[in-house]
Amino acid sequence: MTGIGTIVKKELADHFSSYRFIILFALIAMVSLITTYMVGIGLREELGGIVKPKFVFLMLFTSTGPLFSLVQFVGFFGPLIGLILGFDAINRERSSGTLSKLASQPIYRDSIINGKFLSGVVTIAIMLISILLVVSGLGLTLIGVVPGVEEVWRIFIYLIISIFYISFWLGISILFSILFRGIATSALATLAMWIFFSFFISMVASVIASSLIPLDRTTREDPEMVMRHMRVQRIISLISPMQLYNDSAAIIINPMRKTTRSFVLMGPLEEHLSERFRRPLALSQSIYIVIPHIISLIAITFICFGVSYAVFMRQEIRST
Amino acid sequence: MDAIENLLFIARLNNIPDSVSTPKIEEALESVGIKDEAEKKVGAYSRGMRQRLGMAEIHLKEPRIAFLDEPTLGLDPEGTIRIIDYIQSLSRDKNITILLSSHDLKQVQKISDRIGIMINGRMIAVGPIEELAKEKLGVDDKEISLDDVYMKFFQEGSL
Repeated sequence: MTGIGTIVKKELADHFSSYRFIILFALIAMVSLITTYMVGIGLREELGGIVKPKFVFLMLFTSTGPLFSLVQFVGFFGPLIGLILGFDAINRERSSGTLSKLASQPIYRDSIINGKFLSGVVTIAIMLISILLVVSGLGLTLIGVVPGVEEVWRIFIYLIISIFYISFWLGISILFSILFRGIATSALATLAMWIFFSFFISMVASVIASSLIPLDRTTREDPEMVMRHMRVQRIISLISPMQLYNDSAAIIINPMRKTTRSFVLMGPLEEHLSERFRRPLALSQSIYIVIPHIISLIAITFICFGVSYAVFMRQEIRST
Repeated sequence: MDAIENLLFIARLNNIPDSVSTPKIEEALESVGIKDEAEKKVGAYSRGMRQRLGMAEIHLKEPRIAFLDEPTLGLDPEGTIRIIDYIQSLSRDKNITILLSSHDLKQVQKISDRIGIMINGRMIAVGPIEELAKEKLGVDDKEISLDDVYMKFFQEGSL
């Protein structure tokens, strides 16, 4: 473990003093504050004069307001934080000749990659924690409702999932910075991954689903076929870490949601009943629904880092 | 990072506590002559200044052996002289063994105690210059130049 603390400290100092981080942080802080403010104002108007529903505080994060909810924003924009923090981690050191210098110091080689990854994770964690705290504070003053214990727990779990999710993207970008020598190449490759997983995966999913279970005029009437079509589409889109994250975050932060599916087949009586008895799930039940998602998310984060670790340890580092 | 931060980072990687390294860094920057530029970013350094920063690292770490690969390559004459002087002072005052490789034979002759000649990746001869000259050219002359000795070895080596 020699040297890892020193490298983490130095990398953290680099991150926090870089313009790239400051711009990114300012942008995210601004958007989340504006979003929360608008949502908070909306909630205050909506809830004025009626009995306080359960879990008002969490609505701050889930209500879409005029633009989008905070959870959606992190799901969509969060990857960019990870990508921007990591896309030139190794290849910039390589091209400026400092990697060989670093590797010639009496430290284990894995300290370099561990330090880089760890400092990125710490940066992400500090960023998310501070933003969530500020947003919660703003929400407290806006809607004047103190969160209950369960709400705090839900926010905490949401925070942990988000850190893993963004760390996954950090891992991807560090992997690309190891694989590609050019900084522009790795930046483009990471952006391409992000765009593919956020925009194109749903198209790919629907194309594959349509080719496997075509929905024409006759089959469209058959609920069985529609469900199968939907299921294929969902399975394909779950390849995307973004889908994994969005599903798990939505369930964790919103106790009213009882399934990750967006399309549920229900008889009229059932529908009536579920409307009558809309009750929030217990936290343990919410976790139970999305535990496969959370575990997969954590697993792909570690796999991603593991691959970059293995590649980096086998790579040749020479002075040029 | 400026020069001081750079050396401090290296010192920490080498497990040298800050209390020990801080005065040493001052000393090192002083002796390689980049103290005035110590506040500048290393990224803005010229080649010679980077080379000298590398030398300051030796001063900081005080190893028993230092390997220098073409330490004066691509430097201006003034920078070359400073580096050479510094290398000599390292070996005399600090008792550090310096192993340096160079194409500049005159310079090597000037500063080396023992010389090794490598041709085609094999070490053909090792020893003080006088010995090598006596062995190859049969002369016992202090004025003999390393270039001549090297050429002799090279002609035989390539046969």
